[in-house]
Amino acid sequence: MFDVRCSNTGYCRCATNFPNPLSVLVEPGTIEKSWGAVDEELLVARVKRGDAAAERQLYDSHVDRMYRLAYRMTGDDDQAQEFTQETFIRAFERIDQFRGEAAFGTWLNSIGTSVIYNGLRKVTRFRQREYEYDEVGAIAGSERQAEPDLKERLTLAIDDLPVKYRMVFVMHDVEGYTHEEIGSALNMPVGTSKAQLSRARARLRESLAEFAGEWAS
Amino acid sequence: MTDRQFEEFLRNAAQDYNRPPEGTPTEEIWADIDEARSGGWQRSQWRSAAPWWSLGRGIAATVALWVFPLTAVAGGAALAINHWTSDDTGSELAHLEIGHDQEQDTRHGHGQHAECGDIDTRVAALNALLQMETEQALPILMDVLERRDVCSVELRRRAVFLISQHETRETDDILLDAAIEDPDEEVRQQAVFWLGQLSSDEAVSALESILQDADDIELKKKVIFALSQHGSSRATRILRDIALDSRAHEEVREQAIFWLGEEGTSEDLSALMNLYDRMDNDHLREKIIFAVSQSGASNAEEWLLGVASDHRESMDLRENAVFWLGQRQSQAAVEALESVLFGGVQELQEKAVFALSQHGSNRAMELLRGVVVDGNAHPETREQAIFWLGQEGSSEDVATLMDMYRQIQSHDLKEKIIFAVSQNGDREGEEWLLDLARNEREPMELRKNALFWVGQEGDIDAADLRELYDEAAAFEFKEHVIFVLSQRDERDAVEELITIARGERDEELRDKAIFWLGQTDDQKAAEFLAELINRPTR
Repeated sequence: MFDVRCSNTGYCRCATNFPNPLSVLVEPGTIEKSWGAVDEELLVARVKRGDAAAERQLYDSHVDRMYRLAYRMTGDDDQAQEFTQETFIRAFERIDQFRGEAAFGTWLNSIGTSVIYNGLRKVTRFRQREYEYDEVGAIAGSERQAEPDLKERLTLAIDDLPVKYRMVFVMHDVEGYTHEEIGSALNMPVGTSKAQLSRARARLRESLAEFAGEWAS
Repeated sequence: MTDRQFEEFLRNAAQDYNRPPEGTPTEEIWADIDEARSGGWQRSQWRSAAPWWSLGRGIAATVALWVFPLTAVAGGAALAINHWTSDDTGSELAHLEIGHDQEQDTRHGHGQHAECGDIDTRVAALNALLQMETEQALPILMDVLERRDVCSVELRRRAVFLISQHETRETDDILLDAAIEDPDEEVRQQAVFWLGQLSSDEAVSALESILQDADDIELKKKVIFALSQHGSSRATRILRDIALDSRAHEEVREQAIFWLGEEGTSEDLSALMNLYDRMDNDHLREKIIFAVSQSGASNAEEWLLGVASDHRESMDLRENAVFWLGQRQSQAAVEALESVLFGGVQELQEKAVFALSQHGSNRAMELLRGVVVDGNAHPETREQAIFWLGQEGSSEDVATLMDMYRQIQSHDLKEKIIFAVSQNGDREGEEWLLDLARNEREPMELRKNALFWVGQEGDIDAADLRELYDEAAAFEFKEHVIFVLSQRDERDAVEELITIARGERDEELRDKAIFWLGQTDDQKAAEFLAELINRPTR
């Protein structure tokens, strides 16, 4: 068992008596980093043994990030909750398949992005059907909108991106995922993630062309 | 602005894109996870099932109509529409708002009878009677009801409501008289409606007497509704008697069956089930199937399964029973559908497949997967299961379909799997389809099929499609890629076609790309074609 004491400078001293007495001074951040990983491995092992409390701890560690991504992609609290819920259900169901080769968060991200991606595709298809069904009424009732401002146009332009591009753009530029994380989550090479981000940005730049003066200022 | 500056601007501006709320609803999501795992249901499944029942009957009927043609169970949909959107039912429900609507009706009336003078003031005076003591108000209201002049119609319509609000021992009789004697149909119908809102047994007697004595079928149907709303055991018994009475008018019996299903007790439903066996009118039997399916009867599934399994029964009714089984969101319904699935009647098996897909529970989807992999199942039933797994299934279901593809020989079933996987929109499915399209050991027709369907999805990059083009050796396949690109209404696809038209050495393929570019109205395509036309001759 370790005894850890940290000073207010961030340096910590780790001490153990087993198997031999040892005391090590470590740099700021080391404990959080390595113990975090160890903790998570232990948690996953406990979840595999059916420990409900461990499930909850794992959930608490990752739910924010997952929900944020789901919300960014859907813009809807209900759907974001639904996708987050489904992600964790699948993760817990398949926890035996998690080999620990990557971080649990990475593995969870790959499940989460798949849930979101597939979910959005279904919603889009359903909405298309709805649209087709209500097309006449909708067209009859629609009024030409006033010129949207830049923010609205940006929102619409992001919405219009193909789901795959949108996912990469939102993950990278909005939620701050790295290309490595995106590549792992979306099961694509890092280069593809970069290429897709670049294409997404190019499309957005084109969609916002008429606001060039505004964003240039 | 440089690219870097734009990227920075974009990153900042996009922070507002679908900005999540401050706090994550951690506990809510956890509670859902808990519930889903303990009940075997997921929030999404619950939600997708819920609209059938929670959106209201009209919308549910629309959904049923939308889904139903695919299954060719036309009887069920017609039944649904008939019940859910019929004028009768709608107008009766509308009566619940009558107190609010009446003012508006009165104003319409005023417009129609300009010679009646200032009717608004008279209606206002009439309304004021609501505040007055019953002894003073009732004689005035009765005088109004006795009038027969054209200008009194609006006043009489209002008066029946006001009388019902002054509930005395005379109220039932006054409303009964109005229901039978008044020359205006709306006054009669409103009198019936308000009779149903009175709590007394006399009101039920009055309604019963209208049922026995009146010739007006529409009025009798209003009586049925009024009785269903009364809720007393006597009122329900009268409904049951009407449903069972072969001498009663069919439409009136139909209404009674409908409202017994909606409001009746388990005893009433048992009576309906018994009646079903003794009845030779298929139209009414359909109504009973529907009524039972909508009820809370604990043995509804068992009974519906009995109908579905009865070889003496017409196939329409049996199919109807299977459809409505699928709409009951219970485990017992899935078990019943499982029996149908293994019952050996192919028409019913197909209906059961659809019903299971609509049920959507884990077990229901598991059964569908079972049909797909069952080599002994009828090919058409398997096709149905493949189709509905593609439409409604999860990633797991798609994985089953992909596994299945490898195991089977049937070209037709393989085609169905390709289509189903493409319709599901699953990411792994798309990749699988692309791999299939690439695989030169697969038959060309199936590769083209996979390519076509995956190409219809907007999320496959046009660049991916051109990569396929570059990799492919077969002319036929390349030709098909050009076609698939041409079917995508997007600029990227046009650019890829231009690249092919520019770089392809095979003249025929190049011409095909050029031909399809001519079909677009894209500016770049036009510029490229102009460039070709004006290319200097060497």
